[in-house]
Amino acid sequence: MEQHVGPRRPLLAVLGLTKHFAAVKANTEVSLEVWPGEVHALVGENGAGKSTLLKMIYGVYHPDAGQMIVEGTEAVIDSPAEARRLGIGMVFQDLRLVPALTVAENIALAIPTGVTLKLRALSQQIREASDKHGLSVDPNAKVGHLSIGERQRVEILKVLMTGAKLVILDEPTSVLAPQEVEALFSVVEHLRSQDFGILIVTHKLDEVRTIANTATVLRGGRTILENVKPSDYTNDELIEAMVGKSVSDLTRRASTVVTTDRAMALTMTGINAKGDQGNLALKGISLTIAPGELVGIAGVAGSGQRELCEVALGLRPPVTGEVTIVGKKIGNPRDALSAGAASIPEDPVADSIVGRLTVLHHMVLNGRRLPAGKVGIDWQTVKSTTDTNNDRLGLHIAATSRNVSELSGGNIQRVILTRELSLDAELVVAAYPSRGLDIANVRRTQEILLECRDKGAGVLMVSEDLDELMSIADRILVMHDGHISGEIINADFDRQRIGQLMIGGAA
Amino acid sequence: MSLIVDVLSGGVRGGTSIMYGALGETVSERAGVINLGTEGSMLMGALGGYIVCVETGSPWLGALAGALAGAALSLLHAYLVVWRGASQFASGLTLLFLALGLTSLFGATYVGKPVDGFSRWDVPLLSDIPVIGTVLFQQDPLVYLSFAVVPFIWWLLFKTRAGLLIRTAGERSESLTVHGYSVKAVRAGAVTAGGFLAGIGGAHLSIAYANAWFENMVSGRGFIAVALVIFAVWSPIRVMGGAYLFGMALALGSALQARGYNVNQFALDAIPFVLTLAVLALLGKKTVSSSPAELKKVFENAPPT
Repeated sequence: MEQHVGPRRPLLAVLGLTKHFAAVKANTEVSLEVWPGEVHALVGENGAGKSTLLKMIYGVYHPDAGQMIVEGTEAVIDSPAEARRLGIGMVFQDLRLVPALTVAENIALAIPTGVTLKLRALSQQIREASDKHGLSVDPNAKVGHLSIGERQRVEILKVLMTGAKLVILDEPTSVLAPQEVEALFSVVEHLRSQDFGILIVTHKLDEVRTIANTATVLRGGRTILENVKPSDYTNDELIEAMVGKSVSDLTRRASTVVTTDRAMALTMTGINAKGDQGNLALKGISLTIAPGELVGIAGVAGSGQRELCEVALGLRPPVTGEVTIVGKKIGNPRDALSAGAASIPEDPVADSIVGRLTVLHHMVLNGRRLPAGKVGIDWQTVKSTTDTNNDRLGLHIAATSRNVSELSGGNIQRVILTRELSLDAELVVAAYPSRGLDIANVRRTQEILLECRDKGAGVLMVSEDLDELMSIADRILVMHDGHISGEIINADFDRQRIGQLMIGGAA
Repeated sequence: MSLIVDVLSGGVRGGTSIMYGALGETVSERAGVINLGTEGSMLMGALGGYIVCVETGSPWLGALAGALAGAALSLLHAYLVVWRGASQFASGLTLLFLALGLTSLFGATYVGKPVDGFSRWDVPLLSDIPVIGTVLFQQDPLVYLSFAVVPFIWWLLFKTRAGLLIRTAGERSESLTVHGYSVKAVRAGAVTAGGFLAGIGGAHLSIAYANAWFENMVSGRGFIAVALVIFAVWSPIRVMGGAYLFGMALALGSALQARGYNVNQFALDAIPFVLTLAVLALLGKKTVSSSPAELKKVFENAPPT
């Protein structure tokens, strides 16, 4: 621990920051302070205004009103360059590194070295800095070959090497396996001990408790709790601060469907399949999902989850192996639909929407039989069915006359969920079903998936959130590098063990 | 034996024009911009170099003028695709036809005019080495210049800040923005520099290789250069080897004819293109994985970010 000379003052104090976009009040009089040697958690739901606040602090947006004080001096941060000059460094959620370049070349982008890159000297500097901060990084490795956790370390190192005293981490754990989260937190702890200030954005309460000394909770663009000690509050109090009302806990319940005399909802036998780059993305996958069973797929992103869903739905022809849904062999997407498969794709915005069509159009845009009118589609029936389903599922989709291009990611997700989960499906393939949703809708979606299961559908659910899988799955399959590296039934769920399997370690 | 030496030597001489074009295209594509107008820049370079060489009597001024003419056409490409967001394919092809028209119009009076271009200059001592000396060191000055330009482009791309910015523009342009650089400026610079190099290639053709100007004299070498960049996996060093290979395909025909073989001229002219097609068919998707990431976006027609 270094000695502090002179009066201590916050690295950054934000006072009454306000930013409104037309009708959207993104931030209203938001305040917080980050001190040296402090880990400050910025907590809030999607849409609470966290990213607007970060963008103002990092000079991307300019506040309508309010002040920012950097180490005791009022500052006008009008560009990211100015933020960096003032010692504020940002590690973005979608890491901005260039995969084709080496670690040293990526860091050279941020550090002036003159006309030539002087890579040898820079590599030496990187080694020294990485020793000093406990961030092991090979300067000559290509970033594209590094794991997400390693890339994150490179970003943090880069930020430190550009002279940051305040390091902002935007949802750093959302992309990491549990072991990588531990490694990240030990780095954060190390930085704290060296008197850096850390502002970490998260919506996971256990992380707030593990790592943060101080927390600020945002909701609807306002600070609900400001610079508080997390230990002074219970989980329920913090959740209430985040969502404004208490959300009932999901009651876990076991599957009750008797399955002996029915065909398996999904079987995959000896599946090998290629990824988009021609690599082998699925290697010898065999699995079965019984009717009335919810099977979770855990794994670090990119372990073959997407290809698995696509093969199950007939969207990606496997090189070898066979897929059946309720006993019917699947060779193409049409087979899967007629066998009764429903699907929530991984990225609905990219894969399953047509921006200029309305919500109502999307209700029939799924390749299934349409209610026929005298000429063409019977839109009256579509509308009334949609309203009924919307009431039943309770995901509150946007007005059916709106164009989908106007909707946010979470709203689009709810449209797709409502369409697919209102079918009486035999098999539901749900990839990241809670993506972009707030806590209340996440709970509702989980309830609906359990209802589908209880009505006898087999459910295959991919998620990066282990807590979510552990709270609703009957069984979890862990994927690593295109294999199923382990299977755990619900009585034996264990974070550590699943985490080990996710990174390919022996269980 | 002398046939082989003739083909090798002709391959170096004829391949050099293609090499300059392909080096220019490499710089441009490394920054994430495909320039199908390379053929056009070479035409501009060929005529610009020829006119200035005829009027001033200086081949070096001619080469410089050719380079500037090539750069000017590419600057127009940069304006259209970088600032106006136009389709890279449409812009490049259209500029080629513009260059074809312009050079035919303004070059008409220069057809058949005598020019005192670059002449062969044998490097003392080195040119006496058997085979290698004949192939590499009994050439014109623009060939010798290319021996320096290839490593220079390699150094520029991989060892300098400018090169880092160019590669970042081609791999993940938003990373440039994050670090406070202008993607547009970097791309425009790279595209224009690419045209400058292609212009030298064109001038090499008119005032060193053929010592003549005629309409459409580049006749597809610019497109071979574009294909060669893929073949060479965006590496300047491999561009050099590939260019000589194509040069030899061009040289084979004339070497055979000079020896009295009766070979159909049209069939000979087709050799480099058949070779190009064969290479493309052979490589298929293999090189695509090592292509600059932003180029893939161009093919997928993604909206500019």
